[in-house]
Amino acid sequence: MDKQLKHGITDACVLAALCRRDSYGYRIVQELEGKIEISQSTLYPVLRRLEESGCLTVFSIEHSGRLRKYYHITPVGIKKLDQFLEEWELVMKMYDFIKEERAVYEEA
Amino acid sequence: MKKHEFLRELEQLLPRESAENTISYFSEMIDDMMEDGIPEEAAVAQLGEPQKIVAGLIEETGEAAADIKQRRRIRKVDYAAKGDIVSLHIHTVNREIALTQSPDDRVHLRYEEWETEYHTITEQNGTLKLEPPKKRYEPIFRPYPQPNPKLEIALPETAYETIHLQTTNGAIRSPIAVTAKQFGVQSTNGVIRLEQLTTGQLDAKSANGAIRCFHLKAEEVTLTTSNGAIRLADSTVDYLKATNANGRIRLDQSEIKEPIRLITSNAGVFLNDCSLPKGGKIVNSNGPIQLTLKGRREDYRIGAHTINGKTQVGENTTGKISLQLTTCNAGISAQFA
Repeated sequence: MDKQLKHGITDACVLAALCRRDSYGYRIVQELEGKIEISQSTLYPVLRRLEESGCLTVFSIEHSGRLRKYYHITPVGIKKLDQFLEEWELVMKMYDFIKEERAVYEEA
Repeated sequence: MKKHEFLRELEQLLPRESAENTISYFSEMIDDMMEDGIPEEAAVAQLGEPQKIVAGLIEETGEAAADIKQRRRIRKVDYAAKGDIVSLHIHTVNREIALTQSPDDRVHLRYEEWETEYHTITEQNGTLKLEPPKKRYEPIFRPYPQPNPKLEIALPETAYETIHLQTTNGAIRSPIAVTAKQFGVQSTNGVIRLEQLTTGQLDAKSANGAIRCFHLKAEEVTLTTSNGAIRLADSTVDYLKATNANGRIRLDQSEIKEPIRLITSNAGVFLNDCSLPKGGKIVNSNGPIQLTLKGRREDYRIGAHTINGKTQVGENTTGKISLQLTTCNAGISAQFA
């Protein structure tokens, strides 16, 4: 898959995983497992990127004697998700168009 | 690979500014995986190679790639002694020496990979030796950004016969509890710092560096420096001889069981809350001598000599314990509590 496209989808999926509740690294990976291609290690740069662009904030909570970092989606993050959905609306239309036209070629 | 090994390897590959953040993320991840029932080594294996993680990080965030490239070349070698070690003779040049706790029952030497050719390590009859080659060389363009490479010596807790550490231009630090019959340290321009050392004989020499000992238990101690401070705190020593030329000598909350010998010039001698049951001799020039001692004033026979200074040591000179204090161009004071 195109790198730029993959970035966009990964970012959106991670943000989506934070919509229901604030979450931590390991749980995010578990929730996204099977949906997109992500691992404990590849999640890290995504979180870093999203934090740097203001889409999420980080806070720590003590958990069994150590600190665990929780990620919280910000209004910027929500806006980014809306943008993503809007763009994909267009992409889906294009998809339908391309599929239709492609089918025509087969038949001809 | 264990968690701490993985994190250490990762840390060495990362630029300093972002290492902490990255390390804490992966440390937490391993903890969470282990909490989920995945064994430590399997959890680490799932994360993949540290090199690949860092490469991915560069690709994804474009982070200080040049810096990482530079640091990537520094890899540490961990030499684990094959047999049980009772004596260590470490002689190195232009390096810092640091003692740490061994993770197992072996002695480990850790140094940068490129140094492998730089020194020779031999192991014989329980003695581990590290020596620089007779013909010394240092690469002009060092493959590391740090000024002083560190030689790390990880020791398992046991009673050692002899430990001798020698370097130039680097500190010698021992923050861990060590027991050895003989303990020798020598640095030319580096600080020597020993904590929790128990030994029969301690000989510490530095020329331009300070010597600091904390929680030292020793029978015979000789501390020699010329332009650095000497400090001893919370220690119990039978025989103490400290010689300095242009640096301060300071003792805190310590007991010197046999007559003390302190010599310096051009700086002060300070003893705070110390016990000198057999007295001793303190010689200074151009610096003050200030003592607060445990015990009763009447037990001491104090001889205080100074030129151009005040003496405040009390009047009674009939005690049994002899204490000789000499300086010039500064005052002498002794208080008892």
